[in-house]
Amino acid sequence: MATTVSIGISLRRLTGGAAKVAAEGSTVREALADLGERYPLLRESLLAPGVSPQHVANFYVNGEDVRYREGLDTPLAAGDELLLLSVVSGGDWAAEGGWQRVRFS
Amino acid sequence: MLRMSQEHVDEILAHAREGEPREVCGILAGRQGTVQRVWRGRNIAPEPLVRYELDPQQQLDIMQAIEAAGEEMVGIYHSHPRSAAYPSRTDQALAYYPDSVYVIVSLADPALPAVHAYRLLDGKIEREELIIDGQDS
Repeated sequence: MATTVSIGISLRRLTGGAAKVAAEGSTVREALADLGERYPLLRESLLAPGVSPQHVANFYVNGEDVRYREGLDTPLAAGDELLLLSVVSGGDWAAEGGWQRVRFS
Repeated sequence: MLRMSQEHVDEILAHAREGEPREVCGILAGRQGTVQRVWRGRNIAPEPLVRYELDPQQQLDIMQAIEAAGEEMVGIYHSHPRSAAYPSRTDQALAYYPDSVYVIVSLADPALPAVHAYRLLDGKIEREELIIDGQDS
């Protein structure tokens, strides 16, 4: 079963610029694995060992964030739309042992 | 370059102060590098004293509203309650929006909060000019 996957603009470099791609799978995890087979950059960014996909991207099924459903095991049904958006996140120097001087590029 | 009104800066500072000691975050919407609206976000990071993570559902709602208004996400803001208004290594590592300006508010000196803007791209930090309209000089 193919699901339409919409790719947020900041993630399109992972799909060769494509805004919409099709993925096979009955869950978000399976659809993501299918995309990883065809898009190496996506695989490296989201599926590399030690990487939690949800630390990089948010996954929405029909507009609902999957963390409020079954996470990456959220099922996909015919006609569902999966949307991937980069997370908006960061942190304070206080989490890294304090302020350090970093040279401007 | 990012252009903001003093009212928008005041709104970000007010959000940062209300959120102390936790970090706050939000999205700046506008057109062609000019902020027209400040969208406050909810920080759902498990360690909100030192991390921020915009509520994903709210993120989608905000982005859809921005698109419906014919605007763009021109910036992302967050606060550093205890450190300088300079991107942390975490900020750099998690900078997934290279087309947006990252605005950081520091409350390290409560009497003299700092607001600076940056581009974060491929591990490089570039200071972005921040023009504040209506600022007393």
